[in-house]
Amino acid sequence: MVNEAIQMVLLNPVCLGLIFFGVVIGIIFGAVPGLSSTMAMILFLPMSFGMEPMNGISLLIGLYLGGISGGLISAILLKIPGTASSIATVFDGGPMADKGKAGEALGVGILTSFVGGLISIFALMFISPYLAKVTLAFTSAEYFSIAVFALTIISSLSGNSLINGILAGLFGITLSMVGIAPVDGAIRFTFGQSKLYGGFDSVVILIGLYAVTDIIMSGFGRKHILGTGTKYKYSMRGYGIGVKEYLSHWRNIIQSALVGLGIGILPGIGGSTASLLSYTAAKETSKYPEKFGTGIVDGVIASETANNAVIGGSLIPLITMGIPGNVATAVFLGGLTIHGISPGPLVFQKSGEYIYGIFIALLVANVFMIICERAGLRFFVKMLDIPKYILLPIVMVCCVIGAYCSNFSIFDVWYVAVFGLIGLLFKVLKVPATPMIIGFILGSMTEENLRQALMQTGGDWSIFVTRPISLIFLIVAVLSVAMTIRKQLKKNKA
Amino acid sequence: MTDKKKNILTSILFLAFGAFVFYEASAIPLVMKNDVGSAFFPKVISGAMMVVAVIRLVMALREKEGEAKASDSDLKGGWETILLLCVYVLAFQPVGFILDTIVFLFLEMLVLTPKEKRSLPLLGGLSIVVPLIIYTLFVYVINTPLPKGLFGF
Repeated sequence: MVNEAIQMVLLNPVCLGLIFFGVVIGIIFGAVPGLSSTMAMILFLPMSFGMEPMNGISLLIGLYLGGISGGLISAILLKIPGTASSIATVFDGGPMADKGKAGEALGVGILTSFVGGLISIFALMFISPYLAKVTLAFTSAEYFSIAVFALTIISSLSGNSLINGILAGLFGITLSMVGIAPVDGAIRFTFGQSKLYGGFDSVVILIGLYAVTDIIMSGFGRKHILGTGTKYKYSMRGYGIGVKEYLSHWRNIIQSALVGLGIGILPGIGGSTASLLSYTAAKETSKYPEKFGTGIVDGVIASETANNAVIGGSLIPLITMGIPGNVATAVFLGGLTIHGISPGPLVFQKSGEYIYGIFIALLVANVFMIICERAGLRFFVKMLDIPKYILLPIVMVCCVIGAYCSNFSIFDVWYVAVFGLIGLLFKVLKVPATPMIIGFILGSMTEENLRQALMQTGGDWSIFVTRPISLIFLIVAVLSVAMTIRKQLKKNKA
Repeated sequence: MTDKKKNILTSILFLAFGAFVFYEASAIPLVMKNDVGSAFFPKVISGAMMVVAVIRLVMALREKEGEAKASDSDLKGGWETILLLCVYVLAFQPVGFILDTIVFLFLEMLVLTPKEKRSLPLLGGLSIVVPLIIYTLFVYVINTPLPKGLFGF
């Protein structure tokens, strides 16, 4: 299987070319504020459907990895994070640019992104086969409990308003129930529209919520479309830091990689939290915490190592259990299932060559990233100058094409606008959108496993608490809800 | 709108939606004997949604009324974008990709471009060239048909 994987990826120029293309486009989308790495993946997802499975998947991998890495360019040169994952890079990257050390910050950022990505890819390669063996013993009861766990974590950790997150998650689950029901095939919530029998397409919801909404928002914010501030100049040699000096930060590097990896594995938290959390951790464990924020390399290392380490981590639950923890992996799941690869415990037996292919593609993408981003830095910095008033309308057209091409149905084109408007309503009301998309994806999994488990026991609910693993996940789910309520009460008092 | 009013509106919207889903779910018949049925899960979820929405409402009512922040969002630009998007997707099939996209791109760029940067030849040129490139790419390179519409292109 490994041999096949090498043939499909390493020895296939088309596949290598697509990874390269993905990394470059990803870096651009990551770097330009207003475009996001998720947007890049969503826009190219329908295009990947028409490709050979491994080629399509590799393209998405390149976009994912490039997108997360690209954010550091604008975080340092514009002091605006190009993607949410690079938020904490601004804290020290910005002041470094003030001091005329923008080149050094960029170099270290790129280098450490590579290292963070590499550590997490190795973790993915070693952990997932074992985890898949463990999950092999899971029955519907466990899957139900894991889905409930994932849903509660996602709702309670996303955004500022916890209770709005729960509402959004429930809304997403409701959307997943449209069409033909699992188990008995009853048709529900279609309102006589035969087009709705198959339910909503996750691609269409993703494009609507994560691309169309953002573009409508920029219409409301068009006064600021020219952007503010100036672009810092930079000069650099190599990666701006010596090997010895970089390695002297080994404690910070490893700690940040572990933070990113852990956050990636947990559902629903994502790159921006990883970057912030790892920055805080680095500051607290540092011998000179007072220097953080004044422009030291340590801050850039913490943030950029962690956000790239999220990549490998987030793929672990996706590959072994089919559970996407963030929007990027939700897109990735769409790319896998369309090619008949269903992630889960059996994925190594059923589609092993593709999973090894994914590992190789990740490694290749990571190498392309460190070379391209450094060598093409001048080009990427130029991209920051493309006016958004030209870019965004074109992206909107791409959104509509993407929706159309996912099923060649004009209905999907209309739905994409509808979900864009729902996303806008959510933004105005401060309801986070991520729980909705994860709820949508996990909703059918939750219901199907619930009903299957209950059918096996003849309607006996105790199965969910008598099986130990299922029980553990349910307890954690209850705890996370309890903590959510407590936090909210505290906030209300304050 | 103050945050308090937003939260009240949120609760009412979700409460209404939950009630609607619950009502619709009651009509779903039980098909298999051994099964909880296809109505069960929707009822649980919509029930939970109503409960959480009521909690949200109670919490929102107890919040202090903050001051409405002066919003600097450009309502005209936003609504024009929404209008253009709706017209664009509705006309996508009947008018055809190329023509529809040329009109949409041009008008949307006009909406977003600040007055001092407006260069009609540039925006017009781009609005014509970009749809043609995309059309060629999709139809001839990756063999994906796009709607042809009225004039056969």
